[in-house]
Amino acid sequence: MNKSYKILLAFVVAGLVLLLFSTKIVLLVTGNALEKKQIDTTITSPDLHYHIDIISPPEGLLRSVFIRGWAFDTKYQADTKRQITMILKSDTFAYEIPTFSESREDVRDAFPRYALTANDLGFGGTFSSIAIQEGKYELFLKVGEVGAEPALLKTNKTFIKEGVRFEEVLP
Amino acid sequence: MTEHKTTKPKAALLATPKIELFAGIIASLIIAMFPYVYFANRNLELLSASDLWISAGMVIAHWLMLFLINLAILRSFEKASFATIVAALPLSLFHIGLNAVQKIMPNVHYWHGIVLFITVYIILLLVIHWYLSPNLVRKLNLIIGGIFLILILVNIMPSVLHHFRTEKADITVGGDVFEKVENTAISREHYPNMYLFIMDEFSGQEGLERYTGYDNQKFYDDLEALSFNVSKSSRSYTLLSRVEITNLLNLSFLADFFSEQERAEALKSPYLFTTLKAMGYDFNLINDQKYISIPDSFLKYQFVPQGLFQREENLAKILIEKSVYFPIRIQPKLDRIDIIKAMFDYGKKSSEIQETKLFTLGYFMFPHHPWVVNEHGAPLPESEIKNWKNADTYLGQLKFANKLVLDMVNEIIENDPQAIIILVGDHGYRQAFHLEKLYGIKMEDPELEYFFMRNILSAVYFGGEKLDIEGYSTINVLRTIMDELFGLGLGLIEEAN
Repeated sequence: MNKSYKILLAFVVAGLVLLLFSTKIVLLVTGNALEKKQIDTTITSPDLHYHIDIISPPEGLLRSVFIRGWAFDTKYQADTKRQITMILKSDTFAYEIPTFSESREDVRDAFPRYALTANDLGFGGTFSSIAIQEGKYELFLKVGEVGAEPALLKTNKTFIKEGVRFEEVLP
Repeated sequence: MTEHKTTKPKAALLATPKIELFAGIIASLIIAMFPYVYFANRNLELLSASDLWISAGMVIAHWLMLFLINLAILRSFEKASFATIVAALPLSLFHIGLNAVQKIMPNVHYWHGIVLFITVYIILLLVIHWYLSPNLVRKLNLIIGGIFLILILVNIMPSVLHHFRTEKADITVGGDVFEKVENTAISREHYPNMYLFIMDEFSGQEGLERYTGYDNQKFYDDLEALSFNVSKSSRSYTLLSRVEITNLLNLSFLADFFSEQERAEALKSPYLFTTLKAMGYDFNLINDQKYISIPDSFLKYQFVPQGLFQREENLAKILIEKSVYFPIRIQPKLDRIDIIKAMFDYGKKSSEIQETKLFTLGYFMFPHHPWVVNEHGAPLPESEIKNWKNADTYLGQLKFANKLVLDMVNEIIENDPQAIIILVGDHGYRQAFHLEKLYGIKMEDPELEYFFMRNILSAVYFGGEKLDIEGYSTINVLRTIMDELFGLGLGLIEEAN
């Protein structure tokens, strides 16, 4: 085999390898790769309130899903820094998805009996549905003050990932 | 004799490759321009001159970049031309190809296409470099260029013929209207602020009931509770926004079709603006999609909510969306919702800018597609963005528009109770038209459907006073208001029925 054929063959092989691993590379490079974890979701707290405002359908190149809502623990101290993460739990493993926090004056005003401060009551998070393995997932929220032990709540929202579809399973 | 005979062919041989070389480069440009010509031709009625120039510049810049890269790699003009020919169309039509593949293999993503393209492109460059002779490449350039030149001519010929046949016959300029501008000498101190909000594709009651079965009475009741005068039977003159808006800003039915030059000319100093300017009015423009091309010299304030590549209806956007560069056009639908809310917020704030003599013109491409929200403001799936088949998609966005409109006018009236607020659609819901255009579903009675599709939102808050506008086109609504306010004696023109 002459040299030019060898070079052409090398490019073909390199292209095929890249083609096979490109999704993993893209997820890693864009920071969308999700790690499978073991998270115990059996103990949930009755002191948490929440609402999911928006679940966007998957969109864009990475078929990103955006979830926005609010959640709080009735035991929150005033003006503390709070953190919420989303957990997608299947039968055998879970993905933990970080969120951003936002101030929610409307939530504070709706629950005057808890004397909440508005900071960090809201949350929003995006994840690539491509990074999710096929299967059925329940959405949990991990809610707590920074530095304290967080509590879990079950949102009663279930999603199914099948092929490229990622949809909420409606009750 | 012999010497003479041998010299002539030599000169010819030297000259021919130069022409062929140049023709090859032009051939690569022709192929790069083909998608531009094709999509421009299909959307000619909707495009502005600046659209055409910007997009042409964009395509030529892309071609030049490709050509120079290929020239740097291959160091041969003819081979660089051929490599550009090979690369230009896959890059320009990448998204169409990807969509077709994804229908069969849904797990194929953008990056798979990119890797595949780059791999094939590199291999082709090597093949061209090593195995193709300059002579063969020159011939291939000419053959492919010739084929695409014929395709371009076949594409544009019907439009060119149509343009020459119809351009002059359709125009009936209402010259008497324009003359009055110069004679306007009225100037008072306390003319009220005026707000003209044009809601694209906001259907009137009759059209809405016909195409969606929905009774929007509650919305009209809410408007009337705010002292709006409403008309449920108003109609636009045409179904084309560019024509309708140009006409209404001139308070006259100038034409049912504008060439781009005529439209641009008619918007250089529209009668409504020149008259109000003579009255001492300042101008404030909410310009969704930068759709209104009135010269900036008229404007004191302007709100343009998005950049060139975020706009919905321009040729550059269409070309980018079809090409390998389509990801730069992807924006979360939540962005569009935020943009819409920002425009309505600006509309509210417009009532705080000046106490008197401010004319706010708001063009909202809403509830026009992209259909991104349901009636509660929650996002819709991507499949609904331009779904003309499902009237509920449009209806949901219209119901959400109802809320935003009421919220906006409520605040304006609170801040500015003497205001004149004009709420209009530029045309109604054009489902029947698009079902025919996109899916070949014929209208049984086109005249009847056009009658309903031209039924528009029409409501006027006249400083809390009564004003009879039932059945008036927007042009006649505006003429009535101008007469009431300034005593211009414009009168009415023939209705759009």
